[in-house]
Amino acid sequence: MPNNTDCQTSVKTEHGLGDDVFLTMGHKKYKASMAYAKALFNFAVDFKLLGPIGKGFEEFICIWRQSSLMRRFIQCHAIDRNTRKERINSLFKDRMHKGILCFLGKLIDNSHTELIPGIYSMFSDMADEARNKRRVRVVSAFPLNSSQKSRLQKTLEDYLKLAVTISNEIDPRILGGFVCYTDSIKIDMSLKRDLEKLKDRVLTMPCGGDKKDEG
Amino acid sequence: MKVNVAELSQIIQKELEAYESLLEVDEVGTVLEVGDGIARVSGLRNAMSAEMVEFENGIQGIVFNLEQETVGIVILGDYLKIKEGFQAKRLKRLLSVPVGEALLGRIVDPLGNPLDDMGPVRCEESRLVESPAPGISARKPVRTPLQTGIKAIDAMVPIGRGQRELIIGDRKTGKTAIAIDTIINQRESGVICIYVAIGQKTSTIAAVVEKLKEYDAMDYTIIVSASASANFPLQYIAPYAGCAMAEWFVNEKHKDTLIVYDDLSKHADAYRQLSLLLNRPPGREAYPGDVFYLHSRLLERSAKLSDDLGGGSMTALPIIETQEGEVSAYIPTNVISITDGQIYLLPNLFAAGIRPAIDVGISVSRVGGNAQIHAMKQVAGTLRLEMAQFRELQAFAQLGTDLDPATQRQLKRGMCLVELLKQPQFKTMKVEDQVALIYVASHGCCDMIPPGMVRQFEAEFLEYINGVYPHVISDIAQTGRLNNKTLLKEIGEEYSRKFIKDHNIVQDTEEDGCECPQKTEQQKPHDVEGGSR
Repeated sequence: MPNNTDCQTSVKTEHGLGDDVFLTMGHKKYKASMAYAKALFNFAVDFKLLGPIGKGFEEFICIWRQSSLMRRFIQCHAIDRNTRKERINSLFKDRMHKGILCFLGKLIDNSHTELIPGIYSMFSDMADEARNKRRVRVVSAFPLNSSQKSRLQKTLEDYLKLAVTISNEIDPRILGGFVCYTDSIKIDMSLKRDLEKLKDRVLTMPCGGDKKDEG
Repeated sequence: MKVNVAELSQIIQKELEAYESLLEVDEVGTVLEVGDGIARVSGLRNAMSAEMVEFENGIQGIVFNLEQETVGIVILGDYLKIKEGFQAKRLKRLLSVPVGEALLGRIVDPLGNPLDDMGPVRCEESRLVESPAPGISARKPVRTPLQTGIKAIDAMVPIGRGQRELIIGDRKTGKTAIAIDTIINQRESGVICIYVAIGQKTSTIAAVVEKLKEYDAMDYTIIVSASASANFPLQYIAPYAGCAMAEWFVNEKHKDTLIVYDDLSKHADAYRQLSLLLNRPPGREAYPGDVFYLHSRLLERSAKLSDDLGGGSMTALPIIETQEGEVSAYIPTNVISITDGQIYLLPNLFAAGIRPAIDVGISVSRVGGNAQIHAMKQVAGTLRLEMAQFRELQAFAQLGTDLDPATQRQLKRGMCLVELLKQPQFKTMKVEDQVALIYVASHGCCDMIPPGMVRQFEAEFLEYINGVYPHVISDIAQTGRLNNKTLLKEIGEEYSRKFIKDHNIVQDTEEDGCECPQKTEQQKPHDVEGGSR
């Protein structure tokens, strides 16, 4: 993960979406992505295929992120849909579950391939929730060492009553401490927040101006 | 001011020692889409309807739509400063505005921020913008009059303290003028006034403020301004904010208040815009389904409170602008059905110089005589009937047929009354003067005065009676009753003769069907009877 120094980037990763395209796509596409993710998740749960479909989707998304050629090919409207589907099938049929290939075919049919990263992110969140797991993004001013990570993980597991996986991001702007993001909860224990609170308290204190004038 | 560095350091040191870092857990969401004062935010799963949220740049908003995956937020501020990807934090509280006496004489926006150049508004308390209306047991019947100072209204469409009286009419028919006159007339009544401008031009609001200042009415008035240039979420909350400010005076100070919503048509338009942007299904005239509730929950907050609760009152004068006199449109019919009566203004009356252009035929106050002092009840009882008869005869007279003397007399009386009910703007009249004037006019003392001179007669008569017989007027003012009718009638007749003589008015002959004032007075019961037939 890159250093998320601007607020947009930090918010994007808050959802674990991990793709700049996703949050600029607006409400309609968000809703569409959510619908696709739910459909895939329900299918996986109903047919007890959460593991293989999740794994296959993860593998596909890795290739998607790494290969710009692949992205361009899947999203290229100049190439016939059937050709694109056939090529994807031939490439991945031995590597991932048939269900995920059918799902990708449907996205190509509906010209919704640009939603793939968002759908993956939402699907992962749903799958984690089903497995009683939670991804937590920890933003700190300096990299956390393994002992700090494990202590934090244990504390968070106790607090959230869930199994937790931690991903660490660096943001020097918080000065010290850390900020945890999970689901829609933000736990702020940063030095920046403490200093801001302190500043507000000092500024709102009665200053005793007259006394100072005398002095 | 000299800053004592040592002292400051000491304060900071002390604060640092006392500071305890606490775990802060917030619920945050992410802005997916923003535009036109609306933001769609993902996350915020536990957000509640009407809850406040704060964006990361400090701008606040209200949760409006709760959808399956997202929430629709109305932004109370410059939405252009909010970007996709911003965080929105739940504040776990509802919208409130500052309230208190510090607001008197101020012009504020719907969030209570000052819009004048008089510095910050120093209010110690705040009040929820949306709060439930008083229940049945908390109320008392409306019996105390709220004098508008406008003869036509105080006599025929009386308004009581705690009443909701709609002012309805086309554009440029004098709706705001009635509201402003009513505010100006409260100078000595102790009624606190709140003028809520919704979607008005800033220049119009400035003109209103100027007039209120000119007539020393700002001392007891608060202006809540959500002009046409304000974003529509502010226009939407403006009447509720004004209402909350008035409620403080009613509930905490037990005072009588008057609130003018100018106007609720634009308020409904702002709400329609907001609803359509939030993808709420449109209904009739594209307004959302809950547009009735929008106004009913606002106007139900106006009430006369019981003595146990201090006996304060909130009188509401909502204004509705009609299009080409279309009162059967959606919003006018809604507000007509919510309010306790309406003052209907006609453009053709306005153009004919009858101002205020009140159509007394269809204007009504459902509180009626309960909201009049006894003396006014006594004199205005037949006024409405006479005016109705006059309108009927006027239509008949247009056919050009020969009219009998009784009809001609009635027509002349009607014309005289119409002239008498004309009143220039910002010239409000005390209720005791109104009583005296209407009494003498309805007893035929103006019948011999040409219609063009009735207003001159009115002015001079009031000057005469206040100068020569001040005890008659002060008696009405003090007792609220017309104790000496005979004397008042005699004064009217005496002055009428004097006026005719002074101005060399040539009296009509018997053949023309007109009589001297004395005769008119004697024959009055017969005339009315004949007219009824």
